[in-house]
Amino acid sequence: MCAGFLIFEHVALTSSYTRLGLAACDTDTTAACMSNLSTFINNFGWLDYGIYWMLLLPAMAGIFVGAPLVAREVENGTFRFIWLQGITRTRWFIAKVLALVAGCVLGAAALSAIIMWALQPLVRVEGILLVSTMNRLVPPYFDLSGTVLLATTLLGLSLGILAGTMTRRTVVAMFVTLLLFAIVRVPVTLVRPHFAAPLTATAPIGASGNRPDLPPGSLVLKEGFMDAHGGTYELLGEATPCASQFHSDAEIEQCFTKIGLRVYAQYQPPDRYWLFQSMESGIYAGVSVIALLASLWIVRRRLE
Amino acid sequence: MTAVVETEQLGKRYGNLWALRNCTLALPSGSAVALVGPNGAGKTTLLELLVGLLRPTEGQARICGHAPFDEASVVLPHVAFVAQDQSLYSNLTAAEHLTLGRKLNHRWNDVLVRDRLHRLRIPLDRPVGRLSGGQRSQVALGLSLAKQADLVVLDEPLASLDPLARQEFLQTLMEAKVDSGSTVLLSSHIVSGLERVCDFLVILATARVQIATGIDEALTTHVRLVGPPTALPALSTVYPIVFSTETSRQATAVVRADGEIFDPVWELQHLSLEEIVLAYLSRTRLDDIEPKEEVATRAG
Repeated sequence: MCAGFLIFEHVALTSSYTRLGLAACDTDTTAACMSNLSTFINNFGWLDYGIYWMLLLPAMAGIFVGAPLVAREVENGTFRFIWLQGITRTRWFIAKVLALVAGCVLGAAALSAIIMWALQPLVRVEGILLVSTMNRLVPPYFDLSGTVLLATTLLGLSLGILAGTMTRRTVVAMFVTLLLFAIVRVPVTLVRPHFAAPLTATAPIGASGNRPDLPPGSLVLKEGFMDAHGGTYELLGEATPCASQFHSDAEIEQCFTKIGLRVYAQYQPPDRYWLFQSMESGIYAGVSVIALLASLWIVRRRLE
Repeated sequence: MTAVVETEQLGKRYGNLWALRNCTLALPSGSAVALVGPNGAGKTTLLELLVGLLRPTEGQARICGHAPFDEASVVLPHVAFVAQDQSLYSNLTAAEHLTLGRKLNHRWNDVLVRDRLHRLRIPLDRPVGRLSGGQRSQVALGLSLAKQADLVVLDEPLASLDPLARQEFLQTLMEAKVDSGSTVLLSSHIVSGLERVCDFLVILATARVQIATGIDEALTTHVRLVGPPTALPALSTVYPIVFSTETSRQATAVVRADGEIFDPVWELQHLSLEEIVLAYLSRTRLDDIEPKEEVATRAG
């Protein structure tokens, strides 16, 4: 279903992209290009909402596949049958986990690949305009692409399995899974823009709009005004009384130059995408391994 | 006689409560053992310790010389287990369970089992959740027999069966036992009928083993004596008294007497298995009020 939707949208995106001739608008910032880019965004900007719900998929894997894995066996008493066959509970657990993880992570890999392929035109256009809704470094795109989608799927499953093993009750485990997932996921998402120290770019005020030139696809974290000493201000009025002292534009600009006031932007460059992807995937994979080992220990020593 | 099942000071505690304690047993291999006791006596705990579902709190259990919980990979091929409440997958059919068993066990033979289920007119292609209680028990039994284990453990297999199904079940079990020569251990709080299929008896009450002995031996060594109350103290010095009651005119005592009883003041009566079991259980009922050291020796 997701794949069908994404393929359909990809066709729509590509045809519109070609029709508007956006491929040429990379560096060209003429009015015509700008208006075409805006038309494109107006038509497809909603797509980030269209895929936002897919962020729930890894949690769903945990809730509906991970949580019942052990809990349902204990609840239904079937562990008394299945653990008394020729293989030990350890082997049973490892085999089940490997099969489920392989299946779910494979599915996630497919979805991630389709998303990266299907949304290419939109990501590109939003990158040029520095619109952050479909930035590669923020949700939903960051979380649904690359290796992070695979890692969050593994995380959801592992936390689900742990919750089911700890509580031994399927329904309780489902809620615990969601809770654990949020506890790991939310802080990481909040910290993500600071995985590496952001870069700062400055430009004279008024030289190129009100923002320094940034590489397309950059994620702007903060922008405003910076004086000669490096002090930053969000509002011009806080930085200097220039604007209220003088009236002509020339005088005001001269005043800015005199005190060394420039515009600045603090940003993450787009080429940090894979660095951030691997850092975040690493965190989730680490938590997943811990959760799975804890579950295995409970199954081996504590479940009776 | 080698022992398939041995336990030594085996105990299991839940919180502050001992479900089983000081359990030292050796069950002769090839025998059919009845584990008898009231509800809550620790029967399920003992059985689940033996098959490795539970981990002992103290002491140890040995199945064919190995610890069932810690050495599960060694012990599992030797034991088959039928749990008390239905432990089969209710959405899977009997045939699917048999397939599962074949894939999860090295040794597996379900030819006889299929025949038997077929003879009992139990549909193999219906989810076991939609079979009757008796049919499900037969399927569970069949699965445990297909495993061809040295020890087949059944936890209260008769409890949910009507008398006819009970008879069919025991018959299936004993036929299979004769075929395979395996040791069978089954728990029950219903005593009647067990002496026809079992040859060894373990009585468990208040978390302790009261007696473990051959059924024939139990029947010949336990007698009820009726006589004057004044003779009771003297009697207790000679024989272990299992249980006694007295009125002002008459005393009744169930004793375990390894030899003949010559004292003419006592009138001697033979006991049925059920009466012997009842005597032990009545005693523990009194023990609940005032615990005292066990009278019975634990025979191997």
